[in-house]
Parts: sequence; C-alpha cells; structure tokens
Amino acid sequence: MQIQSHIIINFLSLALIFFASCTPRPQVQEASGTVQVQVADTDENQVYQLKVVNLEGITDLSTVSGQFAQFYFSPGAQENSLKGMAPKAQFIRTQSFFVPTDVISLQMSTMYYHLQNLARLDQIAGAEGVNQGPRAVGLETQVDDTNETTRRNNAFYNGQTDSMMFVPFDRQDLPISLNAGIIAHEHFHSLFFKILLKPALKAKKINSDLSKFSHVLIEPLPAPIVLIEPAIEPNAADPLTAQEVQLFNEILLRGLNEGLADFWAWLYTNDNEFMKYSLPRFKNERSLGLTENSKGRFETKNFILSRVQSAIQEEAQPRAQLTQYSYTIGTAYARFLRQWVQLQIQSDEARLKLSKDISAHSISLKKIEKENKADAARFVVEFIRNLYLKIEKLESNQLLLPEQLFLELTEVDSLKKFNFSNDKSTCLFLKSYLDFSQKPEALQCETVATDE
Amino acid sequence: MNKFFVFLSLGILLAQPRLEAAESQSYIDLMPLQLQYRYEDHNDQTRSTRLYSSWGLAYQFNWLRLGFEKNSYSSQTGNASSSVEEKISDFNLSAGYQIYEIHNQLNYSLSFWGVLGYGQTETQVQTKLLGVTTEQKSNPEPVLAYGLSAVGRIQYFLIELEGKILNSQDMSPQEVPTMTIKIGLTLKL
Repeated sequence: MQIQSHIIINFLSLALIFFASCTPRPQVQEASGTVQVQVADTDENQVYQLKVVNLEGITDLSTVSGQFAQFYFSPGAQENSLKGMAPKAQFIRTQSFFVPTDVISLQMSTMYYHLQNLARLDQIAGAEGVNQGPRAVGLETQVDDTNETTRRNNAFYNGQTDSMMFVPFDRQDLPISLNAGIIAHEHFHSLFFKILLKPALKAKKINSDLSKFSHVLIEPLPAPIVLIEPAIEPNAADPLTAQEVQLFNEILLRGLNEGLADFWAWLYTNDNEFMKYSLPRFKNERSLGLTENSKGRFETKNFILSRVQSAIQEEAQPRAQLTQYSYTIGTAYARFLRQWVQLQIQSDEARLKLSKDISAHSISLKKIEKENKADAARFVVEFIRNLYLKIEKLESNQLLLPEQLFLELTEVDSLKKFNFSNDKSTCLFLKSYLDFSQKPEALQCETVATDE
Repeated sequence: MNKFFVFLSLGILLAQPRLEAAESQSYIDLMPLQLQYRYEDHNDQTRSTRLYSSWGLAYQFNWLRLGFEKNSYSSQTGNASSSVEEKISDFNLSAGYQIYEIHNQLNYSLSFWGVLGYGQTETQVQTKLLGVTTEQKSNPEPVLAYGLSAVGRIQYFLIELEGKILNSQDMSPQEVPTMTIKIGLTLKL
C-alpha cells in the first residue's frame, strides 16, 4: 500500500515539474493583430449597446496598445509627450472574443475602436498623415487646476503633448471615455491643432497662449439659444487696440475649433445630441439641431467685438471669460454645417427620385448620406487649410472674418470640388447667414433653379 | 517563479515518508469557513490582496491527504450608467503529502504538508450599459496549484494555514500567491 502511494506521489511531482515548465502564456498576452473584443458603441438609432468588433493592429491586448492608440494611466507630461504607466486591461476569453472584466478595460477597448474608425474618417477627409502613429490617451488624468470643471467629468486635447486626456468621471451618466461623440470631438482638435494652430504658432501669427488650448469641454456661461445683435455697437471709429484684435481672433479661432469639433462628432455618430449621454445639462446648448429661430444666426464681428471689449473693461481675466463664450460661437457653425449636409442629402434624394436612370434608384439612402458626409468632412479639412493660409497673410491689426465659413461655400469651385448641390433651398439657407452678417451681396439665389 | 515550483516538487519527490505505518490513521475534514487571500491584479490598477470566499473538505489516510475546495470572488466597477461585474469561481482538487508531524496522544496533532492541486477556473462577466445587461462566460481554464500547509487538530476541531501558488492562463498575473486560513471540524475514522 505504502509503495503504491509513493508511486502516486512521485508521479504527481513529475507531472508538476512538467506543467510548471510548460504552462502556456495567458491568451490576453498572446492576442495581437486583429482581435475581437466587446466594446460599447451606438447602433443605427444612436442607442448605446455592447457589440463585438475587430480591434486592428493590436500589439499588446493587456494594455490595449497598437497601431491606433497607446494608453497612459494618470499620466504626467514630460517635454512633448505623456509619461506614465500603461493601464492594465483585464479580459476574459469566450469562444471567439474577449470581454473586458472592468470598466477601465471597457473604456480602453472602446476608445481604441473609435480611434481606429476616426483614423479612417481622417483618411476620407483628406487628413491622412496629419496624425501619425498611435494616439496617446491619458486616463484618470489628474489636472493641476483650481477649476472643478476642468479636474472632473471632462476631456481635452493637449497640443504640446499631442494627447487626448480624460479626467476622472464621478457622475452617474455615461463616462465621457465611452461617449463616441466626445471622443470624435477631441480627436478633431488634434487635426485643427496640427493643420492650423501649430504652423500658425511657428509663423508667429498666434501667441503661445492660443497654442496651449486645452479644448476642455467647459461649462459655457448661460447663453441665449437665439442669438441677437449686441445692444451696444462696438466703437468702430477708434482703431482697435492690439489686445482687442488679439482676443477677437483668438476667441473666433477657439469658437471655430469647438464648433467644427462638434460637427465632426456628428459626422461620426449621426447624433445631434451626442453630449446628453454624459453631460445631459448641455443637451440643448450644444445640440446640433437647428431651430427655426436660430436659422441664419451666428456670432457676427460686431457681436464678438462687443463681447471682447466688455470683457477687457469688466473682467480681471478677459481671456478666461471669453473662452467660455467660444462655445456659443462654435455651436452656430456646427448647427449650420449639420443642416447644410441634411439639405445636400435631401437634394440628392429628390434628384434620385426624378432620375430616369433605373440603376440610380438602387443607390440607397445610406449611401447618399455616407457620400454627403464624406464630402462635408473633406470640406472642413480644406476650410481649415485655407483658413491657415489667410492667417498667414493676416496683418497684426486685421480681424478674421466670422462669416468666412459661409463665404467659402459661395464659391462655385468649392461647390463643385465637394459635390455640393446648389439648389434654391440650399442657396437660400446659406444666404440667410450672409444676410445676417450684412453681406447680402455675397450670394444671389434668384438665378438658381428651384428644387422642382 | 516556475523555478520555485520545480524546486518545491523536487523537494517533495526526494523527501522520505516520515510516518511509520505502525498505526493507520484516517480523518475526514470539513472546512466550511475558509478565508483565501490572493495577491493579484485588482481592477483599480493595483496589485493587491483580494479576499475570496471559500469552502472545502479533505480526506486523510496516513501521510496522504486528498482535498477539494471551491472559491469564489465578485467585484463591480463603474457607475449607474455603465458597470462591469466580474464573478470568478474555481475549484481545486489537491493531493497532500505529509512532510512532518508532531503528534500527541492527548488528541492534538500538528502536521506539515506539501500540496499539489489541479482545478478549473471560470469567470462570468455581467456588463450593464444604460440599463441593458449582457452576460458572458469565459472558457473554463485549468489551474495548477503548488504549496505547503500546516494542519492543526484538537479533538474535533481543525485549523489549517495553507500557502499556495496558483497557475492559470486566466489569472493575472499568471502565477498568483495565495494564503488560506481554514477552520472546520475533523472526524477520526
């Protein structure tokens, strides 16, 4: 009996030696290339759900790093890059895909997926190569700022370190790092920075304060939904001071950056109210839905100048005050562009219905939408490039034009280049903005064919 | 870490039986209360001890002790809108080899054991996103266990302290040190 037991023990010991030296590496560490992972994303009806997607170019799933993203946990900045440890992602392996076992891992996988898609959108928009290598993303970033809205429940892009940062989220809503629209919004800032702000800084056309934009989704001051002309006209007789010109251009650029970023978020999510899932208080203020009252309205030169002058006179820190105002400026551009794309889609649909070519009828509504969105994305990138060329030639006492975006669309070459239709309803819509900026002569719609 | 197991195994392999089989001894041990501490990766990005709830039983015949234990752990991260609940459950079958024993005729004993184990671990993940819950289960993965334990018996009561290393593809890190305190009843057959 005792001899038999010794044989068993000896056998078990040998088995242990064998297993100890042959245990395979964890599946998470082995996974690379294209890996199927469960992430959070919206469906066609903009409802958030879990779905299994392919994460491409993964080099290490245990840190969800690869071709499109590199994550840092509570990072610090050193010179021009983020420093810190990579967060450790935890997964289980089911029959065919990986499932995150904690919220941080879910956030990392979801963000990787969106950054992968947004890189594709960059390509479609003609901004391929603007962002190179994996995007640096900071999670649970600790921001040294006295402002609570900067330190909590926020996200921003930092040009200096070329990184997207997410600060701790302590609300009960959808975390910002799972919000597809906000990720797209922040991603756009990297394009705006690299195409416009960075070269403008190099050419000394903007000051360093402007280049340090953090692009935080800060809480704007209560702003009227319907924009009205300022009661007090800015003093046009006196030449503008250097500070006024500087702040005017700065705040307009910030506004454009925020507005175009919101539009980019819409292009990506097709959701007018992409912020409501994470920051429901902004549902109306930042909604891209254009009401009848706000059609044709935006922050004109007089309005912005008036705000700049009163901020200089009344505020100890006018820049901080005006930074919040930039979201009001931006939202009008975002709403305009979204409506512009909708009108383009409607115009294409109408044309399709009238077409005698039967093969044209097989073109789906989805395809029309996709093509029009791609055209709009290309237009936005081209607009930023053109805007930089204008800034390059700008004298130190010259103001940028708030209606520049609308003026670009009056050019026939632009319309052709981006396949924009120019039917009467589109033309009248654009004209309403130019009329508001007191430039009615910039566009004539009388000669344009009617929708029918 | 693997080298440690190899040395441990060799030690067990080379050790000679301490107990002369003058009188055969057999026990049944029931351990409904076990506290198992595992030093492993935590979902707050630290590596720290996590407490598993656990129960087990064992049968000892002379210098051989066969055991079974069941462990479980659950944790949740997130907020009201998005949360992930992880439920880990595993079982382990073990064979212990008595290395040394202090025995007293007055119904108390203290014995030291080398332990080898084999089991399976499985994790269930419940993800909640804006009110919709999805559940997924991992493929069961094998777990190997190696370690030492000390078993004290006083009449019908038993207390055991066991230090073990668990090794599985599904664990993080792959080799997890554990310390288990087991309290239960023992019955001499």
